[in-house]
Amino acid sequence: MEEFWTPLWLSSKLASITTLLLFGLAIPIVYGLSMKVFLGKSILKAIIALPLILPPSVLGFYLLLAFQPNSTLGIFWSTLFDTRLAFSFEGILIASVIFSFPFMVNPILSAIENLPTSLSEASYSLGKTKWQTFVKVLLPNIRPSIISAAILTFAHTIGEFGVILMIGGNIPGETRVASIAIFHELESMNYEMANQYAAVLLGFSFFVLLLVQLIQKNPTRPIIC
Amino acid sequence: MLALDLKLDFTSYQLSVRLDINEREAIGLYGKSGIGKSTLLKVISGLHKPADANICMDDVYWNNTEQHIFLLPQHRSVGMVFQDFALFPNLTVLENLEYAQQIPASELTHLIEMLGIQDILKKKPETISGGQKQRVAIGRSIAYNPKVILMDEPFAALDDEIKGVIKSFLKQYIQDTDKIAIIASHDKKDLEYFSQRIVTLSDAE
Repeated sequence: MEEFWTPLWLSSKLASITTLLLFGLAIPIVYGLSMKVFLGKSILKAIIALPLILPPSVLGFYLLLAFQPNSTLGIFWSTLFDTRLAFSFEGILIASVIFSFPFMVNPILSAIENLPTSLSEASYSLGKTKWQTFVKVLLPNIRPSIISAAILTFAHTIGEFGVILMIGGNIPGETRVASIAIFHELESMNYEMANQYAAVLLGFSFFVLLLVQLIQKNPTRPIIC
Repeated sequence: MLALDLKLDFTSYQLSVRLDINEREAIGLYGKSGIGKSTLLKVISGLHKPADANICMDDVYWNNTEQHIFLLPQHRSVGMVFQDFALFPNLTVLENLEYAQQIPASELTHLIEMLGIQDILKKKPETISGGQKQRVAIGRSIAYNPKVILMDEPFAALDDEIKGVIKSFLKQYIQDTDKIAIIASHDKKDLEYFSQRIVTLSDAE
């Protein structure tokens, strides 16, 4: 039974850390994209959104090249931590952060951009800086979107298969997350076990979508006061 | 003194404004809807960057196109009352006032009493009436203690009884505190009561 839960535990661990890291990264990036004017903003937005349409095999291929032990990143990583990036939990974690990036950034950015401009204008005219306005006025008014973004990021990481398989392979207890475990059990003709994993992920996915629906019943666009 | 010398370009006309406004003076901006009253207020506050403007406050340039000077709103000491009130939905009425507060607590308490909003301090803006929101928006701009108060249709949501109280309070406040006020309205009667001078904005040649 312990064997059954290990991939699920790994998936949860991977998704939780990915969500936390992405939340920390997304807030300053959304701040920059929504409050600052700079050259190349459209290019940056396109790069962030790239994992939405890029085939996982393409992303996986380039990440695998970057994570190779003789690559710059690979050498840097092994010097720093005395371990490899490819086929390790750390490797799939970095890959998860990259491929889930738009799921965290885009909903938050879109919610900020849809807020009435008079809210930030009122804050500026009361002497507040852009950062104060962002933290004290804009972010609190898009709370449902932030929660939805976090849930979607978590769920997307739980469900990711292609990139994880290419970067992490199928190492029990290290990179065999739930989605890989289904594939593994199918290859071993163990349909019952595959069915159990699939059922857990199906139930989880439904629960997540239901949760997002319930959260979004609260308007993300505040009523102008 | 606030000195304005600016030109605002609209699709089919250009607004030219030349005005010197002294402390304790209230100026009324009168004109039909869409003529550019709100845009002019936003230009003065620094929320809108005009193509050609010269705005000088107490010998300090807020805006000088020729010299490429443009002071951000945060550095202009301007309190703005927005037409849509722009109260922060995540904050209570009291928190909205405290967000802006640059006046002593005793003055804030007095302001709250004068505006008659003491019973709604713990309420969120979405749960109060339009007239109450307008009073909170006026209170918030005063709580910021700016040199210049800009008000965009500040009496539109007030009923006649409250309007009279608020107008006389504001008139007294500006006379007592060295402030400059610019009020945009389409109601000339309000402006005549409140302002020493009325500037009519027009798209005529």
